[in-house]
Amino acid sequence: MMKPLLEVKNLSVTVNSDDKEIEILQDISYKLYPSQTLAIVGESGSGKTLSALALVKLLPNSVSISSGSIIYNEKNLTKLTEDNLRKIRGSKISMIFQEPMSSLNPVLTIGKQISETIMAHKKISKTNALNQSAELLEKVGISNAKSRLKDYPHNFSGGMRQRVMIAIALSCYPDIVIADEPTTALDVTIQAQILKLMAKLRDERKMSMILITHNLGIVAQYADYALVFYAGKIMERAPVNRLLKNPAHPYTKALLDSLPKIKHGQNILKTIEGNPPNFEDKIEGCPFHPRCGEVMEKCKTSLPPEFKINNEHGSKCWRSKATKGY
Amino acid sequence: MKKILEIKNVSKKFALRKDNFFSARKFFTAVDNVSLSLKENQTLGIVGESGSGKTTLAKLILDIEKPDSGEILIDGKDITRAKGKELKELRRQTQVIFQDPYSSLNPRMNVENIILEPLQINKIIKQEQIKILHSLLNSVGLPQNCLKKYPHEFSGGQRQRIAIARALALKPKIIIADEPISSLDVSIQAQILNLLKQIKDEMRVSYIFISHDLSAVCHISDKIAVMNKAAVVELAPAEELFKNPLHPYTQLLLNSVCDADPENKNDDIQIIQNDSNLSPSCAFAERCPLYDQKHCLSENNLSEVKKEHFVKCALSSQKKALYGDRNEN
Repeated sequence: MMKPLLEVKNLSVTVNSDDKEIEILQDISYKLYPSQTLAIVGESGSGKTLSALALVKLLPNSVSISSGSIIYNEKNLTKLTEDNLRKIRGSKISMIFQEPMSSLNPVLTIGKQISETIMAHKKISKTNALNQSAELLEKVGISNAKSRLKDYPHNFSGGMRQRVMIAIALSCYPDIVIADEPTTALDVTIQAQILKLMAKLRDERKMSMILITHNLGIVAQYADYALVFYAGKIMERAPVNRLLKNPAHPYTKALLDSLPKIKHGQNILKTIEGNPPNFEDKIEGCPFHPRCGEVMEKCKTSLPPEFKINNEHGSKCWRSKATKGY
Repeated sequence: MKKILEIKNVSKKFALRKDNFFSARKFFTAVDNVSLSLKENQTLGIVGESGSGKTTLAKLILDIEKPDSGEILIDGKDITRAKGKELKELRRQTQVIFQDPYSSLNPRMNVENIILEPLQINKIIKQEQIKILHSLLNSVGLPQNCLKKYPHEFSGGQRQRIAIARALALKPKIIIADEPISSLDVSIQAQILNLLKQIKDEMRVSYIFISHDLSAVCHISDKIAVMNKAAVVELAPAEELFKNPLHPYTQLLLNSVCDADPENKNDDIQIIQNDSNLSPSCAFAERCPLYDQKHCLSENNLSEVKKEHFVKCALSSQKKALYGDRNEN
């Protein structure tokens, strides 16, 4: 068995609001292997973005890690000082955010913003940093890279800006890239280009990627392994092919059934009744039980543990206990 | 079936800001010579990338913008030239559901007032209003006790239901849904798609469904128009369009969709960048994988290649041979 590059163990994250402590991520554990693309799937409010931000401690002030550990390179990231963490953030673990317009600084040139990252992590002269920036831009498919270094974010289109973000994220040869909904704000044709580019660079540089998305299509096309988040918990984990072909958890099944498919006719879609829970709501038992079509009495009172269907496939559902070993 | 809406050769340009005081005014063409029609109780899907003119076209039909040229006939009457009472009557026939239910509902009005507002404007008798209100709540699946609540008390999906109820209040013949599901959660999208379908069957309305989500458009539409750079480049019945896309732009769009089936990898996306000022007659020339100078320089129009399948491409007749039926391979 390969050694995992990153290991998250029993991570819990709480938010303090009005003297109340609410646990928004509960007992998250997973491993990320070298060259693997791990997808985190979930609806808005399921905690998928927070779980990624927690890896590099980019959490908002009121939110903190309450227990658990994040092991990267034999170091526990939750215990590192801010200074040491800063050395890892942006160089070894970097991020690509959803909205490229708001994550780039509108008053700095593209060249400045890419070279800034390089200079922050390496001892390198400004000219060399700029040269490297130009190479990076070329790599992400921006033509005339040298002259475009002097342009500002508003000179670029949405897809190009996301390419710039990718260039910044890759500037220090990271081991892990966390991409948080990298293409949600883009058109389908551009989305395909960006995802292809990311997959190509991932393979070239043998990076691992954590891909956060709500789009199961993207998961199917670009990820190896997937975690399904719901209400701050991992409901199901499996290799992508298995997850989409043979889902075990009722939530994953329902999510897949509710997708309109191009090839199928115009029948009524299956839906998941109700709404995803707010993290302030306290739900007894399994958080999905009010919306679940296969709910049992047991689900309303006690939270199921994760049952292993096989070595790589786990599901947090009482029903999976019964079907265990199929 | 009767045509409820006919758009004939509609164009709309917007003036751009001048570079300086003396320079000539430049224009941006948002909708370029578009002709479409919609039959009673049918759904016309409009797909295209952002900036392709989908929303401008919707605004023209709703008479929010006036076209520069062309006619828009609703039930045989031209809305672009109608005035006074006639215009008010025509506007009742077309209603709209917007993309973002967070910003399209007035936060200071409760559900009752939101849904009643169009009825009050059109001076429907009070007793009738209450009746309509309750039946609307029923048909969009909102509880009766929500009337005094405000939009912030609802989730995204429920807000979209309120917006749908408001659009239905005046019993319009045409409902324009401009990206109605793209801001909703995945599990909620299916609920709203089903609701729209159910309403279509119950109330016999017609939809214009604008979206960039091709699988949703395919699911709900009878006919689909593909727009690229202000023009309709392909128009065909939904099933035909997906089985047998003829325009290279439609093919690019379809290939770009991420399929939730991992065995169906979309590997064949080519990124093409032809010389940008080559062909004035085809807006897609710069990105077209089939670009060829001889054919693409000539004027081309939307022409019928197969029954009810229209394509705007000089090469469309040859393309059939190149790509074949999608089903066959």
